[in-house]
Formats: sequence, C-alpha cells, structure tokens
Amino acid sequence: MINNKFIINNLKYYINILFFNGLFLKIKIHKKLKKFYNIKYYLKKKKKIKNIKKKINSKALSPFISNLYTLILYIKNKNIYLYNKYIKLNLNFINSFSLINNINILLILDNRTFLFIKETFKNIKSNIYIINNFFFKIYLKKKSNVIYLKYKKNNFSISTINNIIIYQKKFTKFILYDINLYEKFNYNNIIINNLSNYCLSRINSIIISSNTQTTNFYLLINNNYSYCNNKQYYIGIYDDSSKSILKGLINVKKNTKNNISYQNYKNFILSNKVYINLKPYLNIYTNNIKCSHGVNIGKINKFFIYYLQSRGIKLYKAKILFFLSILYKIINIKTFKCLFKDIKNKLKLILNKKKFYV
Amino acid sequence: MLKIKNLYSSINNTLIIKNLNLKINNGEIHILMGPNGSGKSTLSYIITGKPKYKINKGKIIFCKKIINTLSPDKISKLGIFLSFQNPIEIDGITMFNFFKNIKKKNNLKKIYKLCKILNIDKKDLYRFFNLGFSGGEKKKNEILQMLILKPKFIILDEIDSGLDIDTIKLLFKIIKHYLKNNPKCSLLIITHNTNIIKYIIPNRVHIIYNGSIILSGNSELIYRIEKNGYYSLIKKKHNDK
Repeated sequence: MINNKFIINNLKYYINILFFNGLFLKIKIHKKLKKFYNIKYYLKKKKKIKNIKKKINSKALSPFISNLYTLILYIKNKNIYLYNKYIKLNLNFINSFSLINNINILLILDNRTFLFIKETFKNIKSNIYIINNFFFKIYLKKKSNVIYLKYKKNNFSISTINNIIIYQKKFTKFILYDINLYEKFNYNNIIINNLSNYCLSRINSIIISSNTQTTNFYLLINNNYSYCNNKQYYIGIYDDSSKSILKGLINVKKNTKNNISYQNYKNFILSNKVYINLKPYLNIYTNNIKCSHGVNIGKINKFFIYYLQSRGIKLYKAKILFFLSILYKIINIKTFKCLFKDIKNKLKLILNKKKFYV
Repeated sequence: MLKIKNLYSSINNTLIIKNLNLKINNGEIHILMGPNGSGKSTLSYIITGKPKYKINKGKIIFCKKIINTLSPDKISKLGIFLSFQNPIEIDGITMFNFFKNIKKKNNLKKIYKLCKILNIDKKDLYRFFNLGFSGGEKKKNEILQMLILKPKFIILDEIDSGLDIDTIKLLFKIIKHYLKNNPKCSLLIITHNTNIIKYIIPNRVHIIYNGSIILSGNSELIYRIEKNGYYSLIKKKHNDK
C-alpha cells in the first residue's frame, strides 16, 4: 500500500473547476500556482452531438442532456524544485434539476507534475435524480503522478457511468481510489495503456452496497512494455438484493519482461439475495513475468468476532472492527479520516438491522 | 464463585461434554489436565459463551447468576476472562486502539506502566494487534489484556506452551501478584505441563477425560500424573468402579 499521508493534509495549492448542471462554469487557479505552473485550458465543442440534443429535446418527457464538449486541461511544472509536490484538482458539480451530465475532460500532465484529483457533488434540491456520464482521458508524461479519489458523500440520488482512459509514459504513477457507498448505479470502465517502460498503476476500490444498489466494474490493462507494475485490490460488502459484476483483464504482450500484475477481489455476502459475478482474466504472451489473480467470497470470520466479544466488545461493534481491519489493506485510516467516518456509518446502517449471528 | 452442574453440551449433534461438575470458590486456584481431545479447551469456550457450542443440559452459575444463555461480551463484562491458546491477529488496528475499544478509560500512562512490568516494548503498542508477533509476545499481550480488564475469574488456556523458562516465570510472577492484590479472584489453568507446580501451587487438580471430570485431588495428583501418565490413572478409576 502507498502511504499518502502528506497528500491530503498538506495540499495548499489547488485548481477548482465548477460545473453547473453539467455545464462548465468557471475555473479558479491558486495565485501562487501561476508562478510555478503553466496551466492552459480551453473548450472544444462537438457539433454532431448538438443535433442529437435537439432531437431528444423535442420529446416532452425526455431528460435534459447537458451541453457536450470536451474540456482540455494542460498542466506543466516550470520549476524543477517543486518536483514531488502534489497540487489539488477539485471537480465540483452542482445540480439544480434532474439531468444526464455528460462531462468530457482531457487532462494532459507534462513532465514531473503531481496531481491529486477529487470530485464533489452537490444537489440544490432533494428530489433530483442525476446520471453522470464521465469520459475522462488522462495523459501522463514522464515522471508525473496522479492520485484520483472517486467518492460521493451520502447521496442516493446519483448514479455514474465512468469511462476513464489513461495513457502512461516512463516512470509514471496512477492510483485510483473508487469508493461506492450510496450510489444507486455505478458503472466503471477503466482502461490503462502503458506507452513505455516502468509504469505503475494501482486501482483500489471499496463497495459497500445495500438495497438494490448495482455496480459494474470493467477494467482493462495493456502491458505493452517491460518493467510495468499493476495491482488491483477490490473489497465488496453486499447486503439485501444488491448486485455487482466485476471483470478485470490484464494483457501482457509479446517481447515484454519483468512485468508484475496482481488482481485480488475480496467479497462478503450478508444476505441470500445478493448477486455477484466476478471474472479476473490474465492474457500472457511472454515468459519472465509475475502475474496472479484471486477471488474470495465468504462470510465473517466467526472466531475473530468471538475473540473480540470475549473482551467485552459488543457484537455489532466487533463486526465493524472486522470489516475495518480488512479495509485497511486498501485505505489508510490516518490519511482518509473523514472517509472512514462515512464507511463506519454505512456499516452501522447495514449491521445494526442484521439478525444473523456473526 | 463458579459452579457447573451436570453439564451436557454438543457441537453439530455430537456430545462433547458429558455430565461435568465443577465448583471453584473465591480465591482458589484450580488446574485442569487431561489427554488430547478430552474437552479442556471446549470447557473454557462453553464457560465464555462461544455460540457454536450448544448446552443441552445443566447449569453454569457465576456469582449466583446463570450464564448459560448470555453472549460472550456480557459474560466478559461479568468478570470472566479467557486467555486464548492461539490469539488472533488483527490487521489495521493498533494495540493501543484495541485497548481503547476494550475500555474507554485507558490512559497511555497506565498502559505504559503495565508494559514495563511485562517487558513489552512501548513501540509495540503502535504495531498492529498481534501481527508478526512471536508466540511469547502474543501470550504476554493476553496477560496485558487481563491486567487492563481486571477480571474476577481467569481461565488460562495453555499459557505456558511455546514459552521459554524466563517468560513463564515472569508471567506467573505477574499472575501471582495480581491474585495477591485481588484475593477474591480465582484462577483456572488448563495445561499439559506437569512442571507448572514449580511456578504456582493449586488448591485442586482435576483430570478430564471424554468430556467429564474423572479424578480430582490436591496438588499431589500432578506428581501421580507425571509418574504414571493419564491412562493408567483412568484405568485404575474404571477398575475401582
């Protein structure tokens, strides 16, 4: 696990981008950032989609589709001494009525730029239902890093379709934290392409779902070059009649060597109505690499709970401790303190009503 | 303090404990011995309320309360403590956080003091619970929990297995000291080791076989076990009957 303690606590410099009802509204860049970074942005409209929008709007009941364009953002680090310092990119989405948000972003990071991306959602009215259709392309040049936190707070009325494509050059890192607690429908389609040697990528995802929440997670990693390192950790806790489909494919192409790739899916089922479909794939066409994949589906460890109970800890608290101890492998408690509170609350919601023993 | 009357218990419809009777008074030290698979550890689990085990018949009375149907957390709050033979490892939760979950009043100063007594390094408190600990360190951790919880009745399940002589001496020294300070506290030790008599002198010794206590006597019984073994004593008992 990578320790990101410094990232969240000490990030002063930020770029705020505001989307209102799916439309790009404004961009705010920290004053000091302009000195050390070269930041450019512009919008590129798509004419074809405009016509589609007209057709849809003609129907009375059709949902509103936000204007379609791609926001191109280019960030370059001018100062060599600022190497190893992260800047924050806040993507803020505010919605006033129910709609389908189409958001296309192309992000280009020049050499030695470090970026932490965070999404925040706000609905002005409570009865809004929103579908976010993301299309996010990230191009990482030499020695640049990206940490991307995808998390929506206490919001049942949002469902998302994420299409994320990443192109990695030499000595680049990409880390994705995908946390889904309340989303009704979550579709992830992530593609990682290695454009040269020595690329590193981590995908850590946590899903705690109840009621009829559904998650689809499709992942494709193309190891076209040597000395690449890809790891995916996935933990799911399912209750009621929730559904999830996970498919991960790692391609290791010919004439590559010393690639390391690893997939690990851990799942806990708390009711009989849960549906899970897990398929980890590996396509390997060379020798001299390390690849493995594993899937676990099971219940809570009874002896673990009994041990905690024998020390005077209540049953539901013991269960929460059990899950937190497993989630720790993905997320550090100290770095994501606020996030852990939400995870605890969600676990309490699920575990309080349960009658099954341990 | 603890009374077990005509206890019958089973797992998955197979009887393990059959007509077991045991009485431990305040401030007494008892040793429970017996061959492998005779039901020593299961008895400790049944007393502490492990839900796997079903009590078919009989009563377990602790401090004039029947604890047959209580959950393990309620039993531990009554004052029963079990130190496990193989304690679990918890990833992601530090020792100090775990102690905070056990008792909210725990101070760092208090725990540091207890660590000094047990020869535990202070840095270990910030390591994950039992993760990567040696067998001896895990057992020390169990005793540390005992000192934090301050129980009325202690069950030590093979506390001496896998430990070197110095740590056994240290642990029993601490246990004795605890019993001195709490004269009403009683102790049940489950072991295979007959050398235990060097470190602690029991009031009663029991031999358990096939889920029921066959023989019980003074500390001299341990010497008889060391000389003749369990099976010869059990045969004699059968012949006498």
